[in-house]
Amino acid sequence: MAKTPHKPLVWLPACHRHLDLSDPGGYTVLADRYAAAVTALGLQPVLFPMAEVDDVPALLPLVDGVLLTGSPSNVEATHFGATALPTDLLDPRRDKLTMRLVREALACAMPLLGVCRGLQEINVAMGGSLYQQLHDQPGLMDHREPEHEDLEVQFAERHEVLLEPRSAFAEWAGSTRAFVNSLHGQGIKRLGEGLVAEAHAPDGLVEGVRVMGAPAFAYGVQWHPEWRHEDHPFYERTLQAFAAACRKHCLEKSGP
Amino acid sequence: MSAATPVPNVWVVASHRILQSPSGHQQMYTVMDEGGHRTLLNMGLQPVCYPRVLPQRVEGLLEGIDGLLMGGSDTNVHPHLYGEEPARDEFEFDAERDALVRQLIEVALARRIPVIGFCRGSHDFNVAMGGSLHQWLRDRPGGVKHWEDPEEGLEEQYRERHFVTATPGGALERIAGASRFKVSSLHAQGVNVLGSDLVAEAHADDGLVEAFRWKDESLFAWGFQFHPEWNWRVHPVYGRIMNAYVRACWERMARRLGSDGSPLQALVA
Repeated sequence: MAKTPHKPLVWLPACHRHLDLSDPGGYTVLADRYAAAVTALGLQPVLFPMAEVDDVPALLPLVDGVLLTGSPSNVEATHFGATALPTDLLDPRRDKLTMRLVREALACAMPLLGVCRGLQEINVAMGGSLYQQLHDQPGLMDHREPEHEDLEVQFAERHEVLLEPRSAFAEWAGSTRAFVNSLHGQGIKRLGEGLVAEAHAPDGLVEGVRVMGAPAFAYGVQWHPEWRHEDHPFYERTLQAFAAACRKHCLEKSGP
Repeated sequence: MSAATPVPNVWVVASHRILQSPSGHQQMYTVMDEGGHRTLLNMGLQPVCYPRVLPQRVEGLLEGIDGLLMGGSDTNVHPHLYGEEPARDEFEFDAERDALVRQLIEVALARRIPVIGFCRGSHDFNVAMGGSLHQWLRDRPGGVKHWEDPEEGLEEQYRERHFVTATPGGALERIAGASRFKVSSLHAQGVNVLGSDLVAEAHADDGLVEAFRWKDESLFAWGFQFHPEWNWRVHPVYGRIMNAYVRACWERMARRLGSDGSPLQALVA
């Protein structure tokens, strides 16, 4: 087969929404900053619009990594034995796809990175649960972004995370502490099976996880490393580690 | 893992638009209308989209692609691309799509990859071939109403609104099995000067070009002002058009994979 200089491919499961409240149409959307970050890493983002659970086994071998993005929508609480709040924005199609995608990606040693909603998807897919409103929990901070501010303000670093010594997180940060942005209403409550908490907010919330014994890169972060990653060494090294795993996967797949 | 039976991959061209989040921030999104995807999936094809693709990657990625689909959008092709200034302030543009489709169409035609464009997608095709657009059909005399009413529901907006006449003895008449039929119409702009190497195949009664193809009929490369992807199951002409496109995608996949060609039964009688 000819050389394929466009690889590695990274599958970004899309979101489904209306463009605005008055728009009746169904749309498949992806926030551009994720695609821009993947492209900046030298990888090629790919979307499989309207992919369903049963398509996962056919589509996964086509790619070299999976990036679960953040989203304004929440993982529906029924996936962890609770009831969705009336205020929750939901995306049941994405939930359905990613619950299986997480498990299949891990099973076939596909590099996996979850960001924000993506971290929560990994946790729930592994049997964990979420706080539905962190700001209502005694002792926990409000982790949401300030409303109606510029993006620069909303995505500014908001709190510290404490990183497990000798973890990959500490290596990427060059320290056991780092400052991160924070734009989420849900957060990890019960940790999913096989996940190791390696980054915590000062209030104790799990903000970074590793999949124990995963045969390839498999991490989730509650913050957004794709935001201004080129100016933020911790974010950049996180993404570069994911990219290196995707390249490795691509090389091993094509074989000698 | 069992090897899945290959199906044609169709590159669905996305739009790029600024959307609002619940917390009030606005960000750029890659946006795809699901109408086209649903049709592709229902017809057994795999929609694929490569966001933020760099120009130097387009050719390599198209090697694995069996069809190009350019759908509608609320954005317009930028009039600078056909030497005009925007006629109205409220027009929204999409420079990323403008640039990408030119390259996609050029490579697709050279590599004999089937192309289908609906509505804005047909405008993309026409402008890429050097054509121009009427920017505001409401200013054009002729008496045919080409635009939808914003208050209407989606089904109503996509209903068949006016007749078109296929060129007698032309390729569309053969594909559609009809010479005059009613089509949907949800557009503010339309083909003005038809691009080089394009052949008009159907017109509205006011003379507007409603369907055109690339000069080489042996490659399926068409632009439609109407939406054959919408309700193709109940509209025989739409069904036959989509069927012809799908067949062309299967044939391209067979060539790409070096097989003898998967015989495909007509999906629509």
